Amino acid sequence: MNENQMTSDNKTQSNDRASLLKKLGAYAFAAYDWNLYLDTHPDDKDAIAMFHKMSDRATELRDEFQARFGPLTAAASQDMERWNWIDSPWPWEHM
Amino acid sequence: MPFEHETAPIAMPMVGYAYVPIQQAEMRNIFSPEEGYENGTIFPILNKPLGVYGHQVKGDIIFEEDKHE
Repeated sequence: MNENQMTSDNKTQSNDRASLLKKLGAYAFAAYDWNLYLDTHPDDKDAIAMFHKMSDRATELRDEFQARFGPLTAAASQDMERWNWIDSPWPWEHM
Repeated sequence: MPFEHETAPIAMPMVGYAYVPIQQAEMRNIFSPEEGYENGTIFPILNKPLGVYGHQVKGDIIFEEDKHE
């Protein structure tokens, strides 16, 4: 499906997908940065709270992304009729 | 950007020993997730892009700590 065949709703859908994926990336990254910080500052209660706030939000975003756009990991594939893990887009394919 | 306690001296610097001062928790100016994603860290004190990294060590350019709040 090349660029000009895309109807406008596919365009907005792929923008949604890209922006949701980026937001998920940002929150997962923030959670991971707090994780690294906590490894050397285990008694920092504020940091523990921030870690959970970020990783809970990342989980929400991951669930939402996967519900709308399909599994991000093989284990997240839910389809028992078809192994949808192989359906595009693959990471290097642009919608 | 240097913060007050960023260049804490150590008592006995040893040739060949690496020394990294412990990172203080500066809760008040943590980057937002989106900002952190761009900068590669959510901690401003660790945000040392090209042009910033290396300058404090040589001490030739001193930056004011930028207050976020």
